[in-house]
Amino acid sequence: MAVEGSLDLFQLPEILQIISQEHKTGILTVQGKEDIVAISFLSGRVVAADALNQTLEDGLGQVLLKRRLLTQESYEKVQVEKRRTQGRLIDVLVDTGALERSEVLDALRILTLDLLGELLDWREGEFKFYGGDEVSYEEGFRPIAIEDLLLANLPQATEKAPEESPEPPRPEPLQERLPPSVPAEPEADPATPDPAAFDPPDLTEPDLPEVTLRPPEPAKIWKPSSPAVEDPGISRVESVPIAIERERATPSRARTARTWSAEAWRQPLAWALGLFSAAALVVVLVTFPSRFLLPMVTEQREAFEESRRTASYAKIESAVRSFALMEARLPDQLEVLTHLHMLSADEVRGPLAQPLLYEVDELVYTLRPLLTEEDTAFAGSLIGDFLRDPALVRDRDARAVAPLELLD
Amino acid sequence: MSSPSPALARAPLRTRAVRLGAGLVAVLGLVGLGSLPALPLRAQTPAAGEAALSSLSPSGGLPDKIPLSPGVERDLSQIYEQWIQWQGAFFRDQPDLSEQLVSGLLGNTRQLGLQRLSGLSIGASVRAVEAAERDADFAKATWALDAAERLDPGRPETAFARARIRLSEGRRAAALWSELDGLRRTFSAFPGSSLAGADLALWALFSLLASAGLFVALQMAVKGRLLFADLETMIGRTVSLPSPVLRFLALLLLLWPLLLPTGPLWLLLYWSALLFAHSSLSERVVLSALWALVALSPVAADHVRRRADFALSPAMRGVESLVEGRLHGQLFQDLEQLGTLMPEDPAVIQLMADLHRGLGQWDLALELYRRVVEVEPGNAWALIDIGGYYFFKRDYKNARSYYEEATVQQPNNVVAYYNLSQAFSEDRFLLDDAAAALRRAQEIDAGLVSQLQQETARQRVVTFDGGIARAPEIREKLALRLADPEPDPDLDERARDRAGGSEGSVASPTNGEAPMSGHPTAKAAAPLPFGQVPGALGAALLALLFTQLRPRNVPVGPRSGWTPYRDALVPGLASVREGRGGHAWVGLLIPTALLTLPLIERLAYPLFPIYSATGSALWIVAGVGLIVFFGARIALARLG
Repeated sequence: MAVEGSLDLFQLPEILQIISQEHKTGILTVQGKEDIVAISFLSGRVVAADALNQTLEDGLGQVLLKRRLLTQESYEKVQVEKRRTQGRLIDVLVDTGALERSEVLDALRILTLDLLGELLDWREGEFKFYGGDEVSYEEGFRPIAIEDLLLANLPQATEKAPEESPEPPRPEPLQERLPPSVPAEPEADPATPDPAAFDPPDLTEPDLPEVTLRPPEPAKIWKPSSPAVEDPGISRVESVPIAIERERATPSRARTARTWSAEAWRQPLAWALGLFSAAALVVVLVTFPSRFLLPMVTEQREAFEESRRTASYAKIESAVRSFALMEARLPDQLEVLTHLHMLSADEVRGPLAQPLLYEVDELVYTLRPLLTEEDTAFAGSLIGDFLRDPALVRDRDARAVAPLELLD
Repeated sequence: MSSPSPALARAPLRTRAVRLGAGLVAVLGLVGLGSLPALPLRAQTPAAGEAALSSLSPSGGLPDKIPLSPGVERDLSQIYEQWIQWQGAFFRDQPDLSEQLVSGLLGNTRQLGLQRLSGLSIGASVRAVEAAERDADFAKATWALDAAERLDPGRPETAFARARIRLSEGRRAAALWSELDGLRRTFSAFPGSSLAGADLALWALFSLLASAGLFVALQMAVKGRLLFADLETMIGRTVSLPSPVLRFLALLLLLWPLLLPTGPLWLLLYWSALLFAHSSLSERVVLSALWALVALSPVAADHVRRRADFALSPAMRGVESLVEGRLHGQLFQDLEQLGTLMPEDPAVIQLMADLHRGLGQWDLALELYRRVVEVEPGNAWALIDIGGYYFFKRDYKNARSYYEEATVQQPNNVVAYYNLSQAFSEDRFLLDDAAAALRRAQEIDAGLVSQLQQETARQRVVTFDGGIARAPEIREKLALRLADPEPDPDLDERARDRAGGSEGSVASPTNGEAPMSGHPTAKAAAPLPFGQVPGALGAALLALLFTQLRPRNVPVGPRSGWTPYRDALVPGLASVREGRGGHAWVGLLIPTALLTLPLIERLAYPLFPIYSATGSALWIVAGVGLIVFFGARIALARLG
């Protein structure tokens, strides 16, 4: 269903009020001299407004910058990101963390109010209302009550018009042109309509444009002196002028306050967690390399540690045997080998950096890690080593054995 | 103008509860399954290896101890005496005598069929360093080091000792060069080469894991606030609580893995799953690679460990010593270990036969060659060596029969025909046959025949170390044998007897038994290492579940307000902010690898050669690498 007309006959405040009073859902397009505006209504309240000459995103950007909700630099970065991701500005603002969603929606509301405020100045143009069951709008957007809008723009609605417009023929007040069945001033009892007083409108009057209106419910006629009507459907309603005034006065301070309370502590915490985990990772890597490599498999880790232990002991044994080759005896303690630089201090301590107990008994020595419950001793011996076993050399000379028949 | 609402906001309560429940199950699975011991799957022994091990008749088998004839013992005593004399020459500062003694030592070694004296070479290196550091006698140190190099050319200990001597002289550049030479030699000498290879593999693994962990830490630093907000929202939608309580619970939910053993590592794995939802495509690829690394690192580490254990086993040490011709004090003990492990393997028996032949113990060698031929009638080299025994015993008839058999088994064996011609030529009635055999040899390879004629001028026939040539085959079988989790009880008993009889003559861990490194009675090989796969899968599952609650897949954040120089000095930071996962990981991997390089011995296996403890070369390489890396980053920042 569509309703259309001219602004010469109906001023916008009247049209808006009708829609509000009728709790209409649909889109009102207003075509002025230089622009076209589309206003979305949901149950009589404004949920969106778009202008042809300025995209929503451009307008939103201007609001953000004008009200210092975003710095120029940040805005440009967001634009870069938007171009890169091909996403919507609102989504990009939220995803990049530039603004909270609530802040974006507040800015959008301000933009809508500004646009509607400008629209109220229009005196020439055409309008058309497309009714429907639903309209699309930004999730979380707080609908704007027409009464609040008109109250906020009261000086413009009542004073500006005479200055700006070249005295177009003023239409008759709406209430006078309504069908007689519609009460003009339901002062007696606005809440209790008189169904008997309702008559369908007379649509045949030739001077009037064709207006099709559904039989109205008892409505409140807008009057400048009427107090602001609180829409019970809107939660946490603020008086629009006060809200706007707050936004105009201290937008950055409000944003700063919100930022500090919701956001500021998260980033340092995230950095702290990141640094802590990195430091812990390094500590585990350097101190417990086998646990770092195999944190979840105990058997493999133990096998790996034993393998490292074996390699470490093999190196110690190489040094011990080299010492024995020169001195014809085992070293009394492992520190002798570190003094000779055959082994480093770390190598003498074992692969797990645990101190080693070194015990020597003539030709046999034992290595045993201290401070461990496991019995992982390692024994080395010179016995049987034809280069290092003095007894073997001595016995060879003393033995008298018939030689084998050797071939050349 | 309607906007998409988060799935969580629209999902009915039951679906959210199911998702949260599934997430909890995934988390528990990540903890529980990953902590279970790995499945004790047996390592499969290939059929070929099993067939080879059991192919000999029970009557065959190597003796427990390697018998040494008096002649061999005399030669070994002489080597020992000459070593004592060399030390005397060292203390008296007699380089000429040292030269003579070294020549004598090498001559005696060749008498035993070997070429190098590794133990004495290390001893000479130790004396050289002693002379330089204690007495500042660099001339003596130099000729002692020369002696060490002659006794066993290419030994890494010699190069490391030279590095220490040059450091004592104050020649730092030369010392660094020698240390690099030592590292190079380590990679080519046994067992250092195996351990160094293990170190490199583990270093790569450590670097990959550490850099991946730092990547997750960096992601948390950059995107953690969004994750925190998500967790708060999730908890807030489930239960209605005051904001401070929500924040506390969110923090708890983020940090609970610290309660687990090795908590920091679990924490990073857990965060990688949660941060998956806030990651770009390339970052998700990196995180997936991290999970794959976690799952596969035990497999890689176990493979490296087995190779290292294998290289350190006395049996393997004995094989490699024979292959390289190294005589050292433990050689015979190590080969006895090999005989204990694989007493009936024909390749091992042939190797032992070669050893005895080299020692001049032909009778023992013949007996072992015959055992080989019983099992492997087609083994031409064993037949040739048996023929050589008879040839040297002047039993030319038997020599001919074995050489002829060798030509039948391997019709293209030049040595068989050559030796046959020599055997024929000993009988003046068979000169035509000798010529025919020689012609046949020349038809196959004339060049080789000329070479053989020159090299065997004195002994006339060629013998060949066919057993030593089968070292690769022996290594494979030995690796399988050592990896067998259920050792042969008979072998176990023999090993115990041996270890008990020689009073611990072999280096071994003595935890109440007589096991030794690599011996089958040692701790059984660990089961197949798949124990970290559940943990990795749990992380992946948790990531997928959590991602459903946050379907958006966009990178976070334009470049920060940091200056380019600060971005250059913190690798990966700018890339994480821009959602470039691959760049970030590579940026972290390079400095991580460089920083862990000098710690390689601490993290993995010690490099085997003694005197390799300075590690200054690795620190210098790391330092230069870091300077180049960060210098390049800063230069690019200045240009960009």
